[in-house]
Amino acid sequence: MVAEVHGVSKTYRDHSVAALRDVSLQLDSGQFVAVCGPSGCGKSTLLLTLGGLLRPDTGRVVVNETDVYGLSPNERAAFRAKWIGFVFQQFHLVPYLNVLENVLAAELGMRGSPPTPDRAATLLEQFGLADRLQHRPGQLSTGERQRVAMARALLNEPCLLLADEPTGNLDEENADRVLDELSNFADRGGAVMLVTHDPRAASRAQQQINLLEGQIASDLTTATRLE
Amino acid sequence: MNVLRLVCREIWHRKLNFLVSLLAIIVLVGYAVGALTLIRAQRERTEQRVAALDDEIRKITKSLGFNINILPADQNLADFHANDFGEKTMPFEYVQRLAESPDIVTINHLRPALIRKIEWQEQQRQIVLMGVAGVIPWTHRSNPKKPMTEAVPTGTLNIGSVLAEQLQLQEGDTTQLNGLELKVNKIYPERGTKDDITVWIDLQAAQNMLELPDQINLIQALECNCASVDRLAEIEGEISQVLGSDVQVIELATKAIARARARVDVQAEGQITVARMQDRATLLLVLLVLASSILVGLLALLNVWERQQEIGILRAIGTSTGSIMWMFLLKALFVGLIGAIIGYLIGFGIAVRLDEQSANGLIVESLFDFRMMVFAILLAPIITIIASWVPAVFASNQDPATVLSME
Ligand SMILES: Nc1ncnc2c1ncn2[C@@H]1O[C@H](COP(=O)(O)OP(=O)(O)OP(=O)(O)O)[C@@H](O)[C@H]1O
Ligand SMILES: [Mg+2]
Repeated sequence: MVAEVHGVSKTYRDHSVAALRDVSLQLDSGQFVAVCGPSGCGKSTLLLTLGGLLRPDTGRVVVNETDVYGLSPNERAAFRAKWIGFVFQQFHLVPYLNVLENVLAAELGMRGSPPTPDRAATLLEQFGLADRLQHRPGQLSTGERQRVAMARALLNEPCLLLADEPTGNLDEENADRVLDELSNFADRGGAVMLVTHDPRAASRAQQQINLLEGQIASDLTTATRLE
Repeated sequence: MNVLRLVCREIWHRKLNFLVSLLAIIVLVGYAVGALTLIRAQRERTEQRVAALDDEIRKITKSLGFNINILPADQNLADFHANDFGEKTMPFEYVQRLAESPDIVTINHLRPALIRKIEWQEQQRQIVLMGVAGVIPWTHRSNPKKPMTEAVPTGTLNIGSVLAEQLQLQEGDTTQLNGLELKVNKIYPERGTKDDITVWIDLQAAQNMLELPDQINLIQALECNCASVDRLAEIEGEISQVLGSDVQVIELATKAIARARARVDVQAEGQITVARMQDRATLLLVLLVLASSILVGLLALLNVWERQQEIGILRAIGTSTGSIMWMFLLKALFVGLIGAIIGYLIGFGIAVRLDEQSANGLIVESLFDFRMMVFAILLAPIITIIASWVPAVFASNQDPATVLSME
C-alpha cells in the first residue's frame, strides 16, 4: 500500500460542522483515484490530511509505511519532500524564480544528495518546456504554469501525487495534458489522488470516490461506472 | 537550488523593499561612523595642538635661562618690575637652605644676587651693580648639571658693552669702582637691556661695598623642564616648605606661561567640544538605531506578508521551518552587511571631507579606525537580524495548509 487513511475525522477550529467524518481509504501503487463531490464536502481537507499538511482530530494516515503524523513537523516536511508531490489549482509557483529554479525549489526540503538540475531539465523537456527554462512564471500561459508545477511535484520521484483541481484553471487541451501526466505517473507505479469537480477529469481515474458532507458516499471503480 | 540563491532572487525581485531597508542601515551606519570619525578627528586635532604648544613651551623655557625669581616676601612687585630688581633684601643663608633641602625638585641652578642702582663715583654716572656668587651646588643631587653662568672672580668685574664703550674700558684694563680696584674680566656683548649698563662683581665685594653683609635681594633659579601646567604653584609649594612665607616666587617666562595657559585652554576646549559632540551623537544614535530597527522590522514583516503564498507552497513541498527562517535572516544579514559597508564608506568619506574643510587637514590614515570598521560591519547585521527575528519566526510558523486552502 502506498497510502492508507484510517478513520480520519477533522473539524476546523472555527467551524462547527465536521469537514471529514470517519473517512477510510487506501491507495495502492499504480492506482489513480478521483475524489469528487459538491463544494465544501471536504475534498481539499482530505487531500491536505493525506499529504501530511493537516493533522486530523482522530484517525491515522500512513504513507509508504510511515505514520505521517507520528513524525515531528520538520521530519514530516522532509517526508513530504521525499515522498509526496502536490499540484494545486493556483499552481503556486514562486514568482521571482525562473521555470528551472521553480522546479528545483523542490530540492530545498530534500535531505542528503538532491537530484541534479539535469533531472529538472529532462522533466521540463518532457512537458514541452525545454525552451522556457529561463522564463518567469508570469511569462507563461496557465497551461505551461501547471506543467511547471507538475515537474516540481515529480522532481524528487515521490510515491504519491496529490492534485487539487489541477485542471480548474485550464482549457480542455491543457487539462488533458495534465491528466495524461497523472495517468502516466500512475502507470509508472505511483499512486495519484485527484480532487476534481469535473466529471470528464474524474473519468480518467480508475476509481472515483464521492464525498458528501465529509463522508464517503460511494466508491466506484471505472468499471462499475461504465456499466 | 539553495536558500542563498532564493534569497538573492527575491532581493532582486523586490528591490524596493530591500533598498529601503538598506537605506535605513546606510543612514544609521553612515551617521555613526561619520560622527565617531569627526569626534576622533576633533580629539586628535586637540592632541596635535597640545603637543605643538608643549613643544613651544619646551623651546621657550630652554632658551630662557634663569626664569624663576625668588624675592623677599615684603618686596613690592610693582617696584621690582619697574626696576628689574628690588630694594628689599633677605639673608644669603636662604640659598643654602634651599640647596640643602631634599624637598626642592622642580628647580635647578640656584644663583643668589645682590643688585642695586649706584653712583659710580669715579666715573660720575649711574650704573646697576650686581653682586653674583655663581651657582650654589645642591647637596642632595647626585648628578648636578653644569652651571650655565660662572661667578665673577674676586678682584674683577664684568661689564655691559654700552657702559664699557662709554668709559672706554677694554678687557684686561684696571679701573676703580668706588674705591675698589678691579680688573675688567669680561665685556658682555650688547643685549639691548639694562645688562648693557650693568657691572657684575663678586657677591661678597658687593655686599661690602653696599654695606649689606650677608644680604641678597634675589635668588634666580632655572625651572626644570617638568612642564606641568601649574608649575609655578608647584615650585612655590616646594620653596615655601623650606622658607615658609619669607619669600615670594615669580616666573619671568611670560611667553611660556601664556603658552601653558593656551595649552590648558586648548585641551579643555577640545574636551568640551568632544563631550558635546559625543552627547549629541549618542542621542541621535539611539534614536537612529530605534528608528532603523523598527523600519527594518516592519519591512521584513511586510515582506513576510507579501510572501505568504510562497512560504506556504515551499513548506508544503518540504522546506523546513529552519530554512524558511534562514531565508529571512539571510536577507537581514545582507541588508546589515551591505548597508554597513556602504554606510561606512559614505560616513567615513563625508567625515574626512568635513574635517578637511574645517582645518589644517589630518591625514586619512590617522582617522581610519580598524576597530570602528569591524564594529560597524558586525553590529549592523546584528541589529537587522534582531529586527527581522520576529517576522522570520512568524514566517516559519505559518501553517501551509491554511495558506493553501485560501483561494
Ligand atoms: N481553514 C479552514 N477553516 C475553517 N473551515 C474550513 C477551512 N477550510 C475548509 N473549511 C470548511 O471545511 C469544509 C470542507 O472544506 P474543503 O475545502 O475541504 O471543501 P472542498 O470539498 O475542497 O470544497 P471546494 O470544492 O469548494 O474546494 C467547508 O465547509 C469549509 O468551509
Ligand atoms: Mg477544495
